[in-house]
Amino acid sequence: MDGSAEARKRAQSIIDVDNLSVHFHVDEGTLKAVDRVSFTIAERQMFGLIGESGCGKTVTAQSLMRLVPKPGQIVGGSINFFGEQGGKTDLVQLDKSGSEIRAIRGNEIAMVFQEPMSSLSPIHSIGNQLMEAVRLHVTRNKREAYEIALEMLDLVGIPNPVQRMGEYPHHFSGGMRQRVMIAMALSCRPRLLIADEPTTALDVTVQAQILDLIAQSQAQFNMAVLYITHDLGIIAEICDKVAVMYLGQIVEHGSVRDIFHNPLHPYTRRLLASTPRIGQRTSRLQTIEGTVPTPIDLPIACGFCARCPDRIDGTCDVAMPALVEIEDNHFVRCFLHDERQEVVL
Amino acid sequence: MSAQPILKVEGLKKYFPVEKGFLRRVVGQVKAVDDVSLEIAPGETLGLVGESGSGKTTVGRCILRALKPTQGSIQFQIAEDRIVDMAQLSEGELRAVRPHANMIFQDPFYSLDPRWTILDIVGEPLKLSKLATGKELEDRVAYLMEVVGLEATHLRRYPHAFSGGQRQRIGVARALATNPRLIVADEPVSALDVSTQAQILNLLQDLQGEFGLSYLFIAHDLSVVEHISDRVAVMYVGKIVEVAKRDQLFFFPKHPYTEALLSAVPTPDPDVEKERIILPGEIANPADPPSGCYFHPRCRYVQAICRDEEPTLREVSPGQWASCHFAEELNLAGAPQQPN
Repeated sequence: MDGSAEARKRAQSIIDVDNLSVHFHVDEGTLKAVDRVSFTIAERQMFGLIGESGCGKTVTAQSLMRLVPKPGQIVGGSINFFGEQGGKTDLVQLDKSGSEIRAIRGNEIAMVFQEPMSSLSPIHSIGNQLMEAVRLHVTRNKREAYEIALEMLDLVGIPNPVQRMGEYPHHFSGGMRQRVMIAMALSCRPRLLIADEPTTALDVTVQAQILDLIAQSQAQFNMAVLYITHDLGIIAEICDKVAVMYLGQIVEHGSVRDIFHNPLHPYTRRLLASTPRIGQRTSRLQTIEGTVPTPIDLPIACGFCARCPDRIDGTCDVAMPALVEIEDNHFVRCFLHDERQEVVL
Repeated sequence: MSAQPILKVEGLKKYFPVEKGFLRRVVGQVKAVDDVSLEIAPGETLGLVGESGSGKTTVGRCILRALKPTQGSIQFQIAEDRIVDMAQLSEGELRAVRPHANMIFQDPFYSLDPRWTILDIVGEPLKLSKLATGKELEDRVAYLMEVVGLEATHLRRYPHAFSGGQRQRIGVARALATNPRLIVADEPVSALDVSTQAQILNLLQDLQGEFGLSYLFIAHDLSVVEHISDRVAVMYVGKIVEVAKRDQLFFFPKHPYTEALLSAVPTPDPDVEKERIILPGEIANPADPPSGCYFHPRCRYVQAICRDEEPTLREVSPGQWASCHFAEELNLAGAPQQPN
């Protein structure tokens, strides 16, 4: 990359993930949960990461916070986080419990999880839990922290915030708990919000409320959002850019229109075709044959080739395709579109 | 409906008492299901949708008599010339009726006993109803495995050896074991990934054609319900607020709650512009429901009458029933139509 491209990237992006690999050393061998994943999120962007269970989307998010659980290890790549003053920090190089990452985690990068009940402490009041984050990162003054917490609860649409501050998580419904989690994440005015399936456990009308809240907060705080989900509908409604993950790798990456109107990877195509849509008159849904293999000691081959109806025998099953830019900002990892191989060490 | 329905539920109620204190005094009732009526024709799929806490699972469980209804009748046609009222049967009488109706559960990880082989799991209903034993039982289970797309040779394996989609197939095989006429499927695909979900939905449709099954398909995912159902009923706080043929309900809804539900479903197409109705608040508490129409605190068309008077479920256009005071006047938006 030459100097000007580097400068341009720095001016626009908030986080740049390059060749990130996360491996779990388990009894059966090495599980490649995240395998050379690269993407860049621009400031104020709504970036969607989509994939089925076990594809590595959550581990990718955990790496960005340096919260990969044991025995997982980041074994390669970099995660450059661009600070407000223009400096960049490689999060991979930081000590995962040191002061530098703690200044970023929860402060500049905040996260909302899928299950709000297990992310909140049942024995501390909502107010205390909210104030803890504020006092760690924003102000040490208890009075001020209280005011900020109150303001945040009001902002995320919790009625009667003064009374709610003293209540406990079990007093709150699922949707309200998720609002508290969002209030907590937003209280330090993060520049990047990671939302990991925040509406999966919620009903569709409550999901609409939470999506609306996330979109509003994004505009209000000028933050970027990394939205992780398996729901194609949500991606289509709120995201600008999308990366499709399969078996630890990004197989396709592009604008939301590219992915939905001109999907190139056979997996993306099948995923779109197997989603039932209201108003679409098909008697049978397309399916993807077989199941996702476990990414332990897999042969060097395209991860999707065993299930792919378009595979080229003798090509797809003996080499790993590289992620190549086929059209402007539309990347695909597939031999049908480009014969370049990934060099696997 | 012209054909004799295989299932006819009338005035079904299920109340759970709220007890308090040392003497367990009953201080109130949770009206989980409150005056629900529905019909399912032979070979038909009725979709039942609603949010958590709307009572849809309780309806399914009452129909199969996993729960004893508080009130109402459940007329189930178990043979051409025999109709029984499931609500009135004693436990002993139920034993003979149970083979005719079965259930598919939501979670394929918790609904299969990890210490039982597939032969035990799928064969249990056959043993209980004394339909087969020994070699005959084994043959029947092997046949069922093939019907649902699993290897018949895997009979002696345990559930942990199968993936989520395969386990759900085992659940389907078990439900089919006794040759039932009616299957209550309670969120059968909501724990599965998109690609696996499509496989199970196709399987359910194939089996319906092959065995002439009727389904009560309970789900909260409207796109799945739209795909598989012939008719759809929408529940809200223990009551059916709208029931209609699939296309009527999805494209010409007559109840404001149905309209809001439809608008909340994300469309997998970035170019479809639609107005998303954000309902204020949350589903009402069935132990302490609001006055009048239960939906009025969240309804954007609310009028004075809605706070005082409960609307009745009535036929507002042929085959379409809705319980809203203004069902005839309101011009509600349905789901966006898609070109094929």
